[in-house]
Amino acid sequence: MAEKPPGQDPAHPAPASLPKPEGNPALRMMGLPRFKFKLPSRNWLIFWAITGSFTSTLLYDRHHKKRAQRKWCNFVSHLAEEPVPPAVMPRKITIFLAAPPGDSLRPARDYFHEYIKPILVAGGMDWEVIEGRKEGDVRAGLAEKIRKLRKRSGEKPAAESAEEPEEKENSDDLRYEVRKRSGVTEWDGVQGDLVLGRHTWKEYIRGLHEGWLGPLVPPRPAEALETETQPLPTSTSDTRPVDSPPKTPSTSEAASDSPPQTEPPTPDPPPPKPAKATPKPPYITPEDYPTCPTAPSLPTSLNPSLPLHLPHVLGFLNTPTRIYRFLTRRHLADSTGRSVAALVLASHSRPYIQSAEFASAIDPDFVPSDTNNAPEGAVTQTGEAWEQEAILKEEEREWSKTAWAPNKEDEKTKERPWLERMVIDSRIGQKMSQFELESGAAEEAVKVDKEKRMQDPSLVDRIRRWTGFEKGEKKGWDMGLEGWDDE
Amino acid sequence: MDGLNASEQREFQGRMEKKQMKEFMTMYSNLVQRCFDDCVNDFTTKSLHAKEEGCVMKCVDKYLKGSERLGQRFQEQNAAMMQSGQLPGR
Repeated sequence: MAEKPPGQDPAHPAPASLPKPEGNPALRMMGLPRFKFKLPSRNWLIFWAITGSFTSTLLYDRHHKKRAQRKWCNFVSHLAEEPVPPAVMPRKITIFLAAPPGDSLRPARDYFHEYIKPILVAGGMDWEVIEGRKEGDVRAGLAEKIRKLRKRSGEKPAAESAEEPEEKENSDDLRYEVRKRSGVTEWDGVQGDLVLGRHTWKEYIRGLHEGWLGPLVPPRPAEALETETQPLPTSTSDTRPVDSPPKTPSTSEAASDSPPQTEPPTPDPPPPKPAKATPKPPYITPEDYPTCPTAPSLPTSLNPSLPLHLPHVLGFLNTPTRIYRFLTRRHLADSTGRSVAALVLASHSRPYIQSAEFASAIDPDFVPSDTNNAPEGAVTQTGEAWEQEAILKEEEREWSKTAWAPNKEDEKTKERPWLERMVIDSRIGQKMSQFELESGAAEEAVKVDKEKRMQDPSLVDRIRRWTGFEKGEKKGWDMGLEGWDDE
Repeated sequence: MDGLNASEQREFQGRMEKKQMKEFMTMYSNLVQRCFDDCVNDFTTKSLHAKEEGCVMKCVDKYLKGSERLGQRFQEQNAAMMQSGQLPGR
């Protein structure tokens, strides 16, 4: 074997003498370069691994978020197909939105648009929004709404306060009048309130109490003047030890209907209030609840409510939390969709309960935030607490630090419903209820979604129609855009 | 309108009636045109199919109810305008 015949040489070339033709000889002959598959460099690997995993996680999440939303939209969409008589307004839901602590209104609005609105639209709902830019706005808005409702149902304000000028009729009142005359009625059934986030929930509860327990007209400013003339430290330490702002009416009342500060209230220079929109001061404080009579027009049950979790966390160090949430929005979409579907269907609601377990849930981490608000008050120390107080409690841990800051010196009297403990009067508390889905609704939703998707033409079907493979139909590209075929 | 004498009043009334009639006829012919275009698409017989008939019924119903609702909203807007003396939403 040492000496080979020369004729066999091309078949078995000596490895050392001739370089082995690499790859496919045909490709070689065509002059294509040799493809050699090898891993990219370490740095490229790292780059692609990070980018790719992030992108794929994101796409996966958004895909499933869409599916979850479509599921709940399909679950309620049968409601949108029921015709409403022309003389009846559609069902109207009240949305309560407030800027999260330490941030602007934007995140709350975005959350509403992203997760809640699609389902409301799918269910054919109408809605109005009570927005709050500052602490107390939602409370004031809701209380005002309830007072209007009370006036419309025939309640007359107490005679003593005739000095309050009749409020200018706005377009809302006018519309109400016109509708009443022409026989247009409101939706006959539950309407529902949707409350976004713990801070809004706290204000909502307070507004509810103020609306139904408070007077129809603002308390007389005489009282306010009295507190105003006293230096602030004494007024906080007088008869009312547990106090939120002592009778706030003074500030904006003076700002709104009298020329700025005609009477000299305090020795210190009266700060001419900058024209910032402050919420209307509360008519009653939580300490007054037990002594207030309920409104005669208080219904036997209030509108059921739906407190929703508003995930919102600020701060640089919380970036990992935010990234995690950014990549797992499908769960949020699903749980929010589920709750909103319960509201839209409105088939089932349960009253809130009162129990000791909520008290224990509330108390241990109750922060006595402000020197003004002593926690051990006359409030509820019975050992039992309302369920409403514990709802979304965990959100408070994520509030920005600025939310807990005590009032600044120049605005001592600002109300702080977010910081103070919720006070629930049992007359109101037992009339509230919460929307709930019936058990088995989740499985039902999956089934409905599947059925509806079967009815929809799939992508393949649409492509077939467009390209004209479907028999007996005009080709899609021949018809112009969809819906234009009449013209 | 107050400064008119009896014959002018009559004339005015007549014109208004004519105008209203015209408006009504326009609406009616629009309605017929729309629903015919949308629903009637088979000309092999002279009678309406059951499907077409149902479609026409629904179409007319939708159109009328829709314009009723629209009219109500316009009325409200009108009232708001009368009160504030300007266009609403400004």
